[in-house]
Amino acid sequence: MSIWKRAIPPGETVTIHVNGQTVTATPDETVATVLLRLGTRSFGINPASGYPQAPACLMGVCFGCLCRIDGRPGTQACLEQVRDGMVVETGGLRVS
Amino acid sequence: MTDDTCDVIVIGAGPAGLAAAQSVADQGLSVRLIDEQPTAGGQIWRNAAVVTRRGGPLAKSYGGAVAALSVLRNDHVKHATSATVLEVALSQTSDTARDPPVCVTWLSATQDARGVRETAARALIVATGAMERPVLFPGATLPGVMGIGAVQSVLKQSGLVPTGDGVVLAGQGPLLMLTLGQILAHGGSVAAVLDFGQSGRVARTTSGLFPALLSDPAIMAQGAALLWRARRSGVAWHRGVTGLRAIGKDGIEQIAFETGGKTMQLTCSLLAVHDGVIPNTQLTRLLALDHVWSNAQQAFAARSTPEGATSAPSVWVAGDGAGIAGAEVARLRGALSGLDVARALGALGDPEFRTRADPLKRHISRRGPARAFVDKLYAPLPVTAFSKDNAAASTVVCRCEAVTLARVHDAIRDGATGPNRVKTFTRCGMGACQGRMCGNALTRIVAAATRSAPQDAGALRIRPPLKPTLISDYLDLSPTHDPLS
Amino acid sequence: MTPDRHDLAVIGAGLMGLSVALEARTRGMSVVILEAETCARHASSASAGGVRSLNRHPAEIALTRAALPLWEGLAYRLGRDCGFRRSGQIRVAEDAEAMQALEDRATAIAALGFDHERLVTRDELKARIPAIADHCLGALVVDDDGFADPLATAHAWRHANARAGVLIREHTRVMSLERSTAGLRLATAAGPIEAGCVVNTAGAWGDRIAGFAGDGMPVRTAALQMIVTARMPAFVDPVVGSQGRKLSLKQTAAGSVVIGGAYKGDVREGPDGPLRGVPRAGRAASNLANAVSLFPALRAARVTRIWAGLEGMTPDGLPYLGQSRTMPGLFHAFGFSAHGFALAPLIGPLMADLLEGKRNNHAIAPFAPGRFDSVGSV
Repeated sequence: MSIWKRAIPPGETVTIHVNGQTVTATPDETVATVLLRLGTRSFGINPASGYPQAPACLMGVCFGCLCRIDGRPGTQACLEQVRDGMVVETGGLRVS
Repeated sequence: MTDDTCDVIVIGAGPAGLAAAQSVADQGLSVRLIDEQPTAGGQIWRNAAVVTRRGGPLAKSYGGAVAALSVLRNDHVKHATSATVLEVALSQTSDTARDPPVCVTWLSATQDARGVRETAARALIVATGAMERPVLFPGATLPGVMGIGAVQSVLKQSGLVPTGDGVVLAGQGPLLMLTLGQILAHGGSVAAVLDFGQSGRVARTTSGLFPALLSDPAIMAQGAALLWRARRSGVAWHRGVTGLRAIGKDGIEQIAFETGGKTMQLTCSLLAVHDGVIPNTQLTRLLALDHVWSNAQQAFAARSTPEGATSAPSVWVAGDGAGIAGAEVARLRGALSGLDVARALGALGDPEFRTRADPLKRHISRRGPARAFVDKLYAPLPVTAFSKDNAAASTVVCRCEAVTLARVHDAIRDGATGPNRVKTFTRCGMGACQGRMCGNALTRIVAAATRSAPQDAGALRIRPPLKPTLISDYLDLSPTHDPLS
Repeated sequence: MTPDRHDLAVIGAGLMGLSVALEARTRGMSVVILEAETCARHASSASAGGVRSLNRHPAEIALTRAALPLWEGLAYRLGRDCGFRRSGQIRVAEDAEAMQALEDRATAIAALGFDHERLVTRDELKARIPAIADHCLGALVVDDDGFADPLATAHAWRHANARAGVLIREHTRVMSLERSTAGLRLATAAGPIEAGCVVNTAGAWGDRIAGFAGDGMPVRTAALQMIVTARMPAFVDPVVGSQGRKLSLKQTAAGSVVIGGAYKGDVREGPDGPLRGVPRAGRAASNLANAVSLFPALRAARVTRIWAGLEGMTPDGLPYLGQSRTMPGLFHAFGFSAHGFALAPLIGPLMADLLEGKRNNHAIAPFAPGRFDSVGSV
């Protein structure tokens, strides 16, 4: 259950894939706001603390939103505007 | 390996960067505008094209955005979105036309044109804006705790508001009231506000009220309206709050805080916190420019002239990144720095410069008293004001490397006399965010513990790349990918 | 102003200076360290932290082998962890020519009487490091080599010095050095100092200090780049290099991959000599290409930090160890040319012996301060 609700009705939509699930999104969403809207709490595990982490700034400075996007690990989800067909995996940094 | 050259590189496409690009381009100089956000406008005009087209309550705070964005259609301006600066090389040169002193290495991360570029220029304008001051308290790293500015970003970017009975705003400042109003106006809900503002401050500040009113009546009226509407919103308003704690396992579930001598506990699904904004100095630190500590704003900014010239000959700063003054002054400072650069590059004569610059300077200085009033009214809280004295072991300073306030204090006792020593003792600032989230607090903590001035305590040294960069992207710069073959 | 008097003044608070100072203090001398900036500010913190006897210049092999046992006991001696691990060091061959070079090397050093370097086959290499690229043909290894954490090591040494009563004066640049009735007299930014003897461990600034005595000891300043990635799951245990490539790669306990290889950034010059190193992205990219060649999975790693520390490089890549020819009481220990880290625990006792006029078994003739006199000097 997400606490985030659309205040403005979506216009055109695109389809992206989040952890294997197909999700509808609007092109002015970022990957981070899509994940929040879906009710995602943990975006990944902090490699130092071992605890879940999530975005705190939504503007590119906190690095709490790191996801694997289109195969690229450690990508800042808040700076990635959604594109049709995008593949997103939460879970934080990992290799290959 | 330089892909392109231009006269001026502007980094950051918020009000300052857009205005700087405009005034440079107006003099016939070519501009490369580099911005890491997917669309231009900065934080204040986030997602500007969509928000202004749609209208509605949000669009009211986008005054000037449409005019400012028109620079992107200027033939002299090449705009790169989703573009991250990796590093900037500066060289001393006497003939800046033949031998450009600035070379910016940047990553274009757009889908169709991903790759590392190098752009050479005769001058650089840094307009990297502000960020929310990270505040420290136990549980602040839990999912579900974010900045109030972050909540506003979500609304501006994607039209989402928080709902339910667990939304709490905590801290102080105009953005708290503005965002509260925007959440409610968009059908979201806020259960409580924890006001960390110090009671009685309004009374002490009235001395600056009248000059402030005269200096910027619009902003002062806006502020008063916000305050009035916020207080009438019906949201539970807790005053004189201290000792905040966020509690939860995999995300925030409850908050505890103290007010009026009592401890209170609330169910919470989103805790948004705010204690003003600070200049984002990551790039100006990378450039090793001289910085000055502002006591009023409790933050460093690059030392600059009123026109934005810095300690490096080819580098200017503009906007909130050069000291917090708000969007309108940022725009004016951007325009002014653009003129100064055009003059320095010989595209604008001295008399012409004065004709254009003097009105901008007048507008900027007229707004000074209003800013001074706001700075005083919402003076930054002490760095540990959000948490309790005994909470150091559970208060995280460095989120990325999970370094607590207690460990920072241990390091200081152990002889870490500055932020960089604390960094090498504890890894504070060595993580993914590269010190963005702990740098301001670290300077303040070290200064307080060593009884030194923050100016002398100094700041974290910032190393390239400016953002963590995939090795696969870096390889673009390698002359030969396989020296053996 | 009456000068401070000390038995020994050490110029430069890098690892070498800290090592010499602590040893001299332990032997009963009163010691001051004079540091122009802050402890371990340059080469010592841009070190890859390699404790490596593998593939050393023949003149340095005996010294590095003698230093290894000292690393084992260093944390105990300094009272703090230095992050030392006997992870082994490994030098990979990526093609037949490189494999031949490693075989030649193994034969050559066996002829010198050393048996610590050992060839391993492709299969054994793959078994040791499953993540290594398939084209690698074999390697030369030293199993009892390892690495330490340069920052932790520097802090530990600084602490041990402070605890032992060594005066560490940071932000105290030495501006001149001359003979006096009692020994040597130094003019510093914080006033004059008299010392019975002086050790010059000033690294990239060592030639300037030597110049005060009229010793022409050329060093070229290099800004050595180090690259660090975000934390990754563990994938490599030993420190890895490659025959024919500039590369040194290891993974720290935290999971960060540290990549070096003597690629050089720019040196920013100031009025008092070199100021600081400025890393260059293009050269980092070449270094990263070398790393990716051995570990293709690194393409998906993120670089979080690149920095460059200033180091003094001698014409033959060997350090200067010994007494000044022109100013008795002045001793030199600098010019480690980007591979001094492993030697640091040995340099203290070695220089202390020289100070005391004691004999020891170390053959230091190849490191004579005057060895470039005949070819001219700065």
